Amino acid sequence: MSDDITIPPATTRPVRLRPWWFLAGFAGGLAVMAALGRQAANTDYHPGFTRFIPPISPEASYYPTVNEMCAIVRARCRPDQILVIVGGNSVLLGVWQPADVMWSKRLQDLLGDRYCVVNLAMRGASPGNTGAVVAEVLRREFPRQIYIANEKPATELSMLGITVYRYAFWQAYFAGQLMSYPDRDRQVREELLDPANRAMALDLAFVGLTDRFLHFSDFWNRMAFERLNTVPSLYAPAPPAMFRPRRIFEDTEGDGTNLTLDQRYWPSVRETEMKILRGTTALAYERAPHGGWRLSGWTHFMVKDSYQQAFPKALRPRTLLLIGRDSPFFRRQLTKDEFARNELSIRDAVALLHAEGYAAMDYGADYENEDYGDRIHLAPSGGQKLAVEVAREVTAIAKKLDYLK
Amino acid sequence: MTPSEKYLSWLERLPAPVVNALTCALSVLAGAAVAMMFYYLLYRLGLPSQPFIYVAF
Repeated sequence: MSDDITIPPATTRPVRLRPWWFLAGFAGGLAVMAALGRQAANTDYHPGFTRFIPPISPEASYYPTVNEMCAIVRARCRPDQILVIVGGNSVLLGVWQPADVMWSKRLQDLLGDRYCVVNLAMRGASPGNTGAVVAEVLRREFPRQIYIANEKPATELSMLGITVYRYAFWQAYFAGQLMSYPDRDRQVREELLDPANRAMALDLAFVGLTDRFLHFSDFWNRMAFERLNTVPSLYAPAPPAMFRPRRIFEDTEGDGTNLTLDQRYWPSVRETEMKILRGTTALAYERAPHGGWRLSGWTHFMVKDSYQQAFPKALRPRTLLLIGRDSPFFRRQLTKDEFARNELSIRDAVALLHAEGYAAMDYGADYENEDYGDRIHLAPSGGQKLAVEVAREVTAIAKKLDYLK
Repeated sequence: MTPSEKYLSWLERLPAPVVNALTCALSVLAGAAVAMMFYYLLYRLGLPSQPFIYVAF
Protein backbone atom coordinates (compact mmCIF):
# COMPACT_ATOMS: atom_id res chain seq x y z
CA MET A 1 0.00 0.00 0.00
CA SER A 2 1.10 3.50 -0.74
CA ASP A 3 0.83 4.38 2.99
CA ASP A 4 3.90 2.19 3.64
CA ILE A 5 6.25 4.31 1.51
CA THR A 6 8.20 6.74 3.65
CA ILE A 7 10.57 9.34 2.23
CA PRO A 8 13.53 10.03 4.52
CA PRO A 9 13.74 13.60 5.78
CA ALA A 10 15.98 15.89 3.71
CA THR A 11 18.69 15.99 6.38
CA THR A 12 19.26 12.26 6.17
CA ARG A 13 19.20 11.88 2.39
CA PRO A 14 22.37 10.13 1.26
CA VAL A 15 22.96 12.31 -1.85
CA ARG A 16 24.17 15.38 0.00
CA LEU A 17 27.60 16.58 -1.14
CA ARG A 18 30.48 15.88 1.20
CA PRO A 19 32.26 19.20 1.86
CA TRP A 20 35.77 17.76 2.16
CA TRP A 21 35.40 15.68 -0.96
CA PHE A 22 33.99 18.73 -2.72
CA LEU A 23 36.99 20.79 -1.64
CA ALA A 24 39.33 18.02 -2.73
CA GLY A 25 37.61 18.01 -6.12
CA PHE A 26 37.90 21.81 -6.33
CA ALA A 27 41.61 21.75 -5.46
CA GLY A 28 42.28 18.82 -7.76
CA GLY A 29 40.33 20.42 -10.60
CA LEU A 30 42.22 23.67 -10.20
CA ALA A 31 45.52 21.79 -10.12
CA VAL A 32 44.68 19.94 -13.33
CA MET A 33 43.60 23.17 -15.04
CA ALA A 34 46.79 24.89 -13.87
CA ALA A 35 48.86 22.01 -15.26
CA LEU A 36 47.06 22.29 -18.59
CA GLY A 37 47.58 26.06 -18.48
CA ARG A 38 51.25 25.57 -17.83
CA GLN A 39 51.44 23.21 -20.76
CA ALA A 40 49.71 25.82 -22.95
CA ALA A 41 52.18 28.43 -21.73
CA ASN A 42 55.06 26.34 -23.02
CA THR A 43 53.47 25.40 -26.34
CA ASP A 44 53.53 27.26 -29.62
CA TYR A 45 50.02 26.77 -30.96
CA HIS A 46 50.38 29.25 -33.82
CA PRO A 47 51.91 26.99 -36.46
CA GLY A 48 51.37 29.43 -39.33
CA PHE A 49 52.16 32.57 -37.40
CA THR A 50 52.98 35.59 -39.53
CA ARG A 51 52.02 38.45 -37.19
CA PHE A 52 49.17 39.38 -34.88
CA ILE A 53 46.35 39.86 -37.36
CA PRO A 54 43.28 41.66 -35.95
CA PRO A 55 41.24 38.54 -35.01
CA ILE A 56 44.06 37.36 -32.74
CA SER A 57 44.84 40.70 -31.19
CA PRO A 58 43.30 42.92 -28.51
CA GLU A 59 41.21 44.57 -31.23
CA ALA A 60 39.16 41.38 -31.17
CA SER A 61 39.39 40.85 -27.39
CA TYR A 62 42.15 38.29 -27.82
CA TYR A 63 45.09 39.23 -25.64
CA PRO A 64 48.17 37.19 -26.59
CA THR A 65 49.94 36.33 -23.37
CA VAL A 66 53.62 36.91 -22.74
CA ASN A 67 54.17 33.15 -22.51
CA GLU A 68 52.30 32.65 -25.77
CA MET A 69 54.51 35.21 -27.53
CA CYS A 70 57.66 33.73 -25.98
CA ALA A 71 56.59 30.29 -27.23
CA ILE A 72 56.14 31.73 -30.72
CA VAL A 73 59.70 33.05 -30.58
CA ARG A 74 61.17 29.83 -29.14
CA ALA A 75 59.49 27.71 -31.82
CA ARG A 76 61.04 29.79 -34.59
CA CYS A 77 64.42 30.86 -33.31
CA ARG A 78 67.47 28.96 -32.17
CA PRO A 79 69.53 30.26 -29.27
CA ASP A 80 72.55 30.47 -31.59
CA GLN A 81 70.72 32.98 -33.80
CA ILE A 82 70.54 36.69 -33.19
CA LEU A 83 66.96 37.35 -32.20
CA VAL A 84 65.32 40.34 -33.87
CA ILE A 85 61.96 41.20 -32.33
CA VAL A 86 59.81 43.68 -34.19
CA GLY A 87 57.47 45.64 -31.95
CA GLY A 88 55.82 48.98 -32.47
CA ASN A 89 52.58 49.79 -34.24
CA SER A 90 50.66 49.05 -37.44
CA VAL A 91 53.44 50.52 -39.59
CA LEU A 92 55.84 47.79 -38.48
CA LEU A 93 53.03 45.24 -38.31
CA GLY A 94 52.95 45.71 -42.07
CA VAL A 95 49.51 47.11 -42.78
CA TRP A 96 49.02 47.22 -46.60
CA GLN A 97 51.60 44.45 -47.00
CA PRO A 98 50.40 40.86 -47.58
CA ALA A 99 52.16 38.26 -45.44
CA ASP A 100 54.34 36.91 -48.23
CA VAL A 101 55.81 40.34 -49.00
CA MET A 102 55.65 42.01 -45.61
CA TRP A 103 58.69 44.03 -44.69
CA SER A 104 59.79 41.89 -41.74
CA LYS A 105 59.84 38.79 -43.97
CA ARG A 106 62.05 40.70 -46.40
CA LEU A 107 64.20 41.73 -43.44
CA GLN A 108 64.63 38.07 -42.51
CA ASP A 109 65.61 37.22 -46.09
CA LEU A 110 68.18 40.01 -46.15
CA LEU A 111 69.68 39.13 -42.77
CA GLY A 112 69.90 35.42 -43.45
CA ASP A 113 69.95 32.41 -41.14
CA ARG A 114 72.25 34.02 -38.62
CA TYR A 115 69.32 36.15 -37.51
CA CYS A 116 65.76 35.27 -36.60
CA VAL A 117 63.10 37.94 -37.12
CA VAL A 118 59.74 37.70 -35.33
CA ASN A 119 57.08 40.34 -35.87
CA LEU A 120 55.13 41.02 -32.64
CA ALA A 121 53.95 44.51 -33.57
CA MET A 122 50.34 45.46 -32.81
CA ARG A 123 48.15 48.20 -34.16
CA GLY A 124 48.51 51.39 -32.17
CA ALA A 125 51.15 49.94 -29.85
CA SER A 126 54.03 52.05 -28.60
CA PRO A 127 57.69 50.98 -28.30
CA GLY A 128 57.29 49.99 -24.64
CA ASN A 129 54.45 47.55 -25.31
CA THR A 130 54.27 43.82 -26.04
CA GLY A 131 57.37 43.35 -28.21
CA ALA A 132 59.55 45.15 -25.69
CA VAL A 133 58.15 43.06 -22.85
CA VAL A 134 58.83 39.80 -24.70
CA ALA A 135 62.35 40.90 -25.63
CA GLU A 136 63.08 41.70 -21.99
CA VAL A 137 61.60 38.43 -20.76
CA LEU A 138 63.78 36.50 -23.23
CA ARG A 139 66.94 38.45 -22.42
CA ARG A 140 68.70 35.47 -20.83
CA GLU A 141 67.54 32.82 -23.31
CA PHE A 142 68.47 35.04 -26.24
CA PRO A 143 71.22 37.31 -24.97
CA ARG A 144 72.02 38.35 -28.53
CA GLN A 145 68.90 40.22 -29.46
CA ILE A 146 67.81 43.42 -31.16
CA TYR A 147 64.46 45.02 -30.53
CA ILE A 148 62.92 47.23 -33.24
CA ALA A 149 60.03 49.64 -32.74
CA ASN A 150 58.84 52.91 -34.20
CA GLU A 151 57.63 56.24 -32.90
CA LYS A 152 56.68 59.68 -34.14
CA PRO A 153 59.12 62.57 -33.68
CA ALA A 154 58.63 64.98 -30.77
CA THR A 155 56.66 62.32 -28.91
CA GLU A 156 57.32 61.01 -25.44
CA LEU A 157 58.03 57.32 -24.94
CA SER A 158 55.92 55.69 -22.30
CA MET A 159 57.81 53.45 -19.90
CA LEU A 160 54.89 51.03 -19.53
CA GLY A 161 53.54 51.44 -23.06
CA ILE A 162 50.04 52.57 -23.95
CA THR A 163 47.13 51.34 -21.83
CA VAL A 164 45.53 48.94 -24.32
CA TYR A 165 48.62 46.76 -24.52
CA ARG A 166 49.88 47.28 -20.99
CA TYR A 167 48.36 43.95 -19.93
CA ALA A 168 51.51 42.22 -21.21
CA PHE A 169 53.69 44.35 -18.98
CA TRP A 170 51.58 43.53 -15.92
CA GLN A 171 51.64 39.82 -16.76
CA ALA A 172 55.43 39.82 -16.94
CA TYR A 173 55.74 42.10 -13.93
CA PHE A 174 53.62 39.96 -11.61
CA ALA A 175 55.25 36.81 -12.95
CA GLY A 176 58.63 38.22 -11.94
CA GLN A 177 59.94 37.94 -15.51
CA LEU A 178 61.27 41.48 -15.88
CA MET A 179 64.67 42.79 -14.89
CA SER A 180 65.05 45.07 -11.96
CA TYR A 181 64.79 48.68 -13.10
CA PRO A 182 64.46 51.17 -10.22
CA ASP A 183 62.88 53.98 -12.29
CA ARG A 184 60.21 51.66 -13.59
CA ASP A 185 59.69 49.96 -10.23
CA ARG A 186 59.10 53.39 -8.73
CA GLN A 187 56.52 54.29 -11.37
CA VAL A 188 54.79 50.96 -10.91
CA ARG A 189 54.62 51.46 -7.15
CA GLU A 190 53.23 54.97 -7.58
CA GLU A 191 50.62 53.72 -10.02
CA LEU A 192 49.55 50.77 -7.87
CA LEU A 193 49.54 52.67 -4.60
CA ASP A 194 47.69 55.72 -5.91
CA PRO A 195 44.36 55.78 -3.99
CA ALA A 196 42.60 56.81 -7.21
CA ASN A 197 43.72 53.55 -8.82
CA ARG A 198 42.90 51.28 -5.87
CA ALA A 199 40.29 49.15 -7.63
CA MET A 200 42.41 48.83 -10.75
CA ALA A 201 45.51 47.99 -8.72
CA LEU A 202 43.72 45.31 -6.72
CA ASP A 203 42.33 43.81 -9.90
CA LEU A 204 45.74 43.86 -11.61
CA ALA A 205 47.53 42.37 -8.63
CA PHE A 206 44.92 39.66 -8.03
CA VAL A 207 44.69 38.61 -11.66
CA GLY A 208 48.44 38.97 -12.21
CA LEU A 209 49.46 36.89 -9.21
CA THR A 210 46.86 34.17 -9.67
CA ASP A 211 47.66 33.95 -13.39
CA ARG A 212 51.33 33.53 -12.53
CA PHE A 213 50.56 30.23 -10.81
CA LEU A 214 47.36 29.09 -12.50
CA HIS A 215 48.07 30.13 -16.13
CA PHE A 216 44.39 30.63 -16.89
CA SER A 217 45.10 33.23 -19.60
CA ASP A 218 47.41 30.77 -21.33
CA PHE A 219 44.90 27.95 -21.11
CA TRP A 220 41.86 29.86 -22.34
CA ASN A 221 43.81 31.63 -25.07
CA ARG A 222 44.89 28.25 -26.37
CA MET A 223 41.35 26.98 -26.09
CA ALA A 224 40.05 30.06 -27.96
CA PHE A 225 42.67 29.67 -30.65
CA GLU A 226 42.51 25.93 -31.20
CA ARG A 227 39.07 24.70 -30.23
CA LEU A 228 36.40 26.94 -28.77
CA ASN A 229 36.28 30.72 -28.59
CA THR A 230 34.03 32.15 -25.89
CA VAL A 231 34.74 35.87 -26.17
CA PRO A 232 32.76 37.91 -28.71
CA SER A 233 34.59 40.21 -31.08
CA LEU A 234 33.96 42.38 -34.11
CA TYR A 235 34.88 39.39 -36.28
CA ALA A 236 32.49 36.96 -34.59
CA PRO A 237 30.13 38.95 -32.37
CA ALA A 238 27.58 36.28 -31.46
CA PRO A 239 26.99 32.53 -31.38
CA PRO A 240 27.25 30.26 -33.25
CA ALA A 241 30.04 32.00 -35.22
CA MET A 242 31.55 33.27 -31.97
CA PHE A 243 32.39 29.73 -30.87
CA ARG A 244 34.59 29.03 -33.87
CA PRO A 245 38.26 28.82 -32.92
CA ARG A 246 40.41 31.79 -33.81
CA ARG A 247 42.79 29.69 -35.86
CA ILE A 248 40.32 29.79 -38.75
CA PHE A 249 41.20 33.42 -39.41
CA GLU A 250 43.94 33.88 -41.98
CA ASP A 251 46.33 36.70 -42.63
CA THR A 252 44.48 38.51 -45.41
CA GLU A 253 46.17 41.89 -45.18
CA GLY A 254 45.44 44.02 -48.26
CA ASP A 255 48.03 44.78 -50.89
CA GLY A 256 48.84 48.45 -51.23
CA THR A 257 50.62 47.98 -54.55
CA ASN A 258 47.86 48.53 -57.03
CA LEU A 259 45.88 51.23 -55.26
CA THR A 260 45.11 54.40 -57.13
CA LEU A 261 46.23 57.68 -55.63
CA ASP A 262 42.68 58.39 -54.46
CA GLN A 263 42.49 54.99 -52.77
CA ARG A 264 45.75 55.61 -50.94
CA TYR A 265 44.97 59.18 -50.03
CA TRP A 266 41.21 59.57 -49.82
CA PRO A 267 40.23 63.03 -51.03
CA SER A 268 37.66 63.31 -48.22
CA VAL A 269 40.30 63.05 -45.48
CA ARG A 270 43.27 64.77 -47.09
CA GLU A 271 42.62 68.01 -45.26
CA THR A 272 42.48 66.18 -41.90
CA GLU A 273 45.65 64.26 -42.73
CA MET A 274 47.44 67.53 -43.43
CA LYS A 275 46.29 68.87 -40.06
CA ILE A 276 47.67 65.77 -38.36
CA LEU A 277 50.99 66.07 -40.19
CA ARG A 278 51.34 69.75 -39.32
CA GLY A 279 50.16 69.14 -35.76
CA THR A 280 52.89 66.57 -35.07
CA THR A 281 55.48 69.33 -34.92
CA ALA A 282 53.54 72.61 -34.74
CA LEU A 283 53.05 72.53 -30.98
CA ALA A 284 56.44 71.08 -30.18
CA TYR A 285 58.54 73.60 -32.11
CA GLU A 286 59.08 77.31 -31.73
CA ARG A 287 60.92 79.92 -33.72
CA ALA A 288 64.65 79.99 -33.07
CA PRO A 289 66.13 83.44 -32.25
CA HIS A 290 68.22 83.52 -35.42
CA GLY A 291 65.65 82.01 -37.76
CA GLY A 292 64.46 78.51 -38.38
CA TRP A 293 62.96 76.28 -35.71
CA ARG A 294 63.90 74.66 -32.44
CA LEU A 295 62.29 72.17 -30.14
CA SER A 296 60.53 74.12 -27.40
CA GLY A 297 62.19 73.91 -24.01
CA TRP A 298 59.35 72.10 -22.29
CA THR A 299 58.91 69.54 -25.07
CA HIS A 300 62.65 68.99 -25.20
CA PHE A 301 62.70 68.31 -21.48
CA MET A 302 59.69 65.98 -21.55
CA VAL A 303 60.84 64.02 -24.59
CA LYS A 304 64.41 63.68 -23.34
CA ASP A 305 63.18 62.66 -19.90
CA SER A 306 60.90 60.01 -21.40
CA TYR A 307 63.74 58.68 -23.56
CA GLN A 308 65.89 58.42 -20.43
CA GLN A 309 63.29 56.41 -18.58
CA ALA A 310 61.52 54.33 -21.22
CA PHE A 311 64.06 51.50 -21.38
CA PRO A 312 66.68 50.30 -18.89
CA LYS A 313 70.09 51.67 -19.84
CA ALA A 314 71.47 48.19 -20.44
CA LEU A 315 68.83 47.48 -23.09
CA ARG A 316 69.10 50.73 -25.04
CA PRO A 317 72.04 49.85 -27.31
CA ARG A 318 70.11 46.88 -28.68
CA THR A 319 66.88 48.88 -29.03
CA LEU A 320 66.50 50.26 -32.55
CA LEU A 321 63.88 52.96 -32.75
CA LEU A 322 62.67 54.00 -36.17
CA ILE A 323 61.47 57.53 -36.75
CA GLY A 324 59.37 57.50 -39.87
CA ARG A 325 58.24 60.13 -42.32
CA ASP A 326 54.71 60.47 -43.59
CA SER A 327 53.98 59.96 -47.27
CA PRO A 328 55.57 62.53 -49.58
CA PHE A 329 52.11 63.04 -51.02
CA PHE A 330 51.36 65.06 -47.89
CA ARG A 331 54.84 66.28 -47.01
CA ARG A 332 55.12 67.95 -50.41
CA GLN A 333 52.03 69.99 -49.60
CA LEU A 334 53.77 71.55 -46.61
CA THR A 335 55.20 75.02 -47.01
CA LYS A 336 58.98 75.21 -47.23
CA ASP A 337 59.04 76.40 -43.64
CA GLU A 338 56.79 73.60 -42.39
CA PHE A 339 58.79 71.05 -44.35
CA ALA A 340 61.99 72.29 -42.69
CA ARG A 341 60.34 71.96 -39.26
CA ASN A 342 59.18 68.47 -40.06
CA GLU A 343 62.64 67.38 -41.17
CA LEU A 344 64.23 69.00 -38.13
CA SER A 345 61.87 67.11 -35.82
CA ILE A 346 63.01 63.82 -37.34
CA ARG A 347 66.69 64.71 -37.05
CA ASP A 348 66.14 65.90 -33.47
CA ALA A 349 64.38 62.68 -32.46
CA VAL A 350 67.16 60.51 -33.85
CA ALA A 351 69.86 62.69 -32.25
CA LEU A 352 68.11 62.68 -28.87
CA LEU A 353 67.72 58.91 -28.99
CA HIS A 354 71.38 58.46 -29.89
CA ALA A 355 72.35 60.77 -27.04
CA GLU A 356 70.46 58.52 -24.61
CA GLY A 357 72.18 55.39 -25.84
CA TYR A 358 69.56 53.98 -28.21
CA ALA A 359 70.18 52.78 -31.71
CA ALA A 360 67.95 54.94 -33.89
CA MET A 361 67.39 55.74 -37.53
CA ASP A 362 64.94 57.61 -39.67
CA TYR A 363 63.35 56.39 -42.88
CA GLY A 364 61.23 57.61 -45.71
CA ALA A 365 63.34 60.50 -47.02
CA ASP A 366 63.48 59.14 -50.57
CA TYR A 367 60.23 57.15 -50.62
CA GLU A 368 57.63 57.93 -53.26
CA ASN A 369 53.83 58.27 -53.12
CA GLU A 370 53.48 54.67 -54.31
CA ASP A 371 55.64 53.41 -51.42
CA TYR A 372 52.81 54.21 -49.01
CA GLY A 373 49.34 52.69 -48.78
CA ASP A 374 48.09 55.73 -46.88
CA ARG A 375 49.64 58.65 -45.01
CA ILE A 376 51.81 56.53 -42.71
CA HIS A 377 51.59 52.85 -43.67
CA LEU A 378 53.99 51.46 -46.21
CA ALA A 379 52.90 49.59 -49.31
CA PRO A 380 55.01 46.52 -50.22
CA SER A 381 57.51 48.63 -52.21
CA GLY A 382 58.01 50.93 -49.21
CA GLY A 383 58.30 47.90 -46.95
CA GLN A 384 61.08 46.51 -49.14
CA LYS A 385 62.96 49.80 -48.90
CA LEU A 386 62.51 49.88 -45.15
CA ALA A 387 63.77 46.30 -44.84
CA VAL A 388 66.96 47.18 -46.72
CA GLU A 389 67.64 50.19 -44.49
CA VAL A 390 66.83 48.33 -41.28
CA ALA A 391 68.92 45.30 -42.28
CA ARG A 392 71.92 47.59 -42.71
CA GLU A 393 71.33 49.10 -39.28
CA VAL A 394 70.69 45.75 -37.59
CA THR A 395 73.95 44.36 -38.97
CA ALA A 396 75.78 47.44 -37.70
CA ILE A 397 74.27 47.02 -34.23
CA ALA A 398 75.16 43.32 -34.19
CA LYS A 399 78.76 44.18 -35.03
CA LYS A 400 78.90 46.94 -32.46
CA LEU A 401 77.52 44.69 -29.73
CA ASP A 402 79.86 41.80 -30.65
CA TYR A 403 76.99 39.55 -31.62
CA LEU A 404 78.81 38.26 -34.69
CA LYS A 405 81.72 36.60 -32.88
CA MET B 1 5.81 8.43 -6.61
CA THR B 2 7.61 11.46 -8.06
CA PRO B 3 10.85 10.97 -10.08
CA SER B 4 12.98 12.22 -7.21
CA GLU B 5 11.30 9.83 -4.83
CA LYS B 6 11.93 7.00 -7.28
CA TYR B 7 15.57 8.07 -7.45
CA LEU B 8 15.91 8.12 -3.69
CA SER B 9 14.31 4.76 -3.32
CA TRP B 10 16.73 3.45 -5.99
CA LEU B 11 19.65 4.84 -3.99
CA GLU B 12 18.33 3.35 -0.79
CA ARG B 13 18.34 -0.08 -2.35
CA LEU B 14 22.09 0.21 -2.94
CA PRO B 15 24.46 -1.03 -0.23
CA ALA B 16 25.65 1.72 2.10
CA PRO B 17 29.33 1.59 1.01
CA VAL B 18 28.29 2.07 -2.62
CA VAL B 19 26.10 5.04 -1.75
CA ASN B 20 28.95 6.45 0.23
CA ALA B 21 31.37 6.06 -2.67
CA LEU B 22 28.85 7.56 -5.08
CA THR B 23 28.28 10.66 -3.00
CA CYS B 24 32.04 11.11 -2.57
CA ALA B 25 32.58 10.79 -6.32
CA LEU B 26 29.72 13.19 -6.97
CA SER B 27 31.22 15.66 -4.51
CA VAL B 28 34.62 15.48 -6.20
CA LEU B 29 33.07 15.95 -9.62
CA ALA B 30 31.02 18.90 -8.42
CA GLY B 31 34.15 20.43 -6.88
CA ALA B 32 36.08 19.95 -10.11
CA ALA B 33 33.25 21.49 -12.14
CA VAL B 34 33.15 24.53 -9.87
CA ALA B 35 36.95 24.77 -10.13
CA MET B 36 36.68 24.89 -13.89
CA MET B 37 34.04 27.61 -13.74
CA PHE B 38 36.22 29.53 -11.30
CA TYR B 39 39.17 29.09 -13.65
CA TYR B 40 37.14 30.55 -16.50
CA LEU B 41 35.87 33.36 -14.29
CA LEU B 42 39.45 34.35 -13.47
CA TYR B 43 40.20 34.52 -17.19
CA ARG B 44 37.22 36.72 -17.90
CA LEU B 45 38.11 38.93 -14.93
CA GLY B 46 41.52 39.45 -16.51
CA LEU B 47 40.04 40.72 -19.77
CA PRO B 48 39.51 44.48 -19.97
CA SER B 49 35.88 45.41 -19.50
CA GLN B 50 36.07 48.19 -22.08
CA PRO B 51 36.28 47.11 -25.71
CA PHE B 52 39.58 47.93 -27.40
CA ILE B 53 38.12 50.53 -29.71
CA TYR B 54 36.96 52.77 -26.85
CA VAL B 55 40.29 52.54 -25.04
CA ALA B 56 42.44 53.13 -28.10
CA PHE B 57 40.56 55.96 -29.74
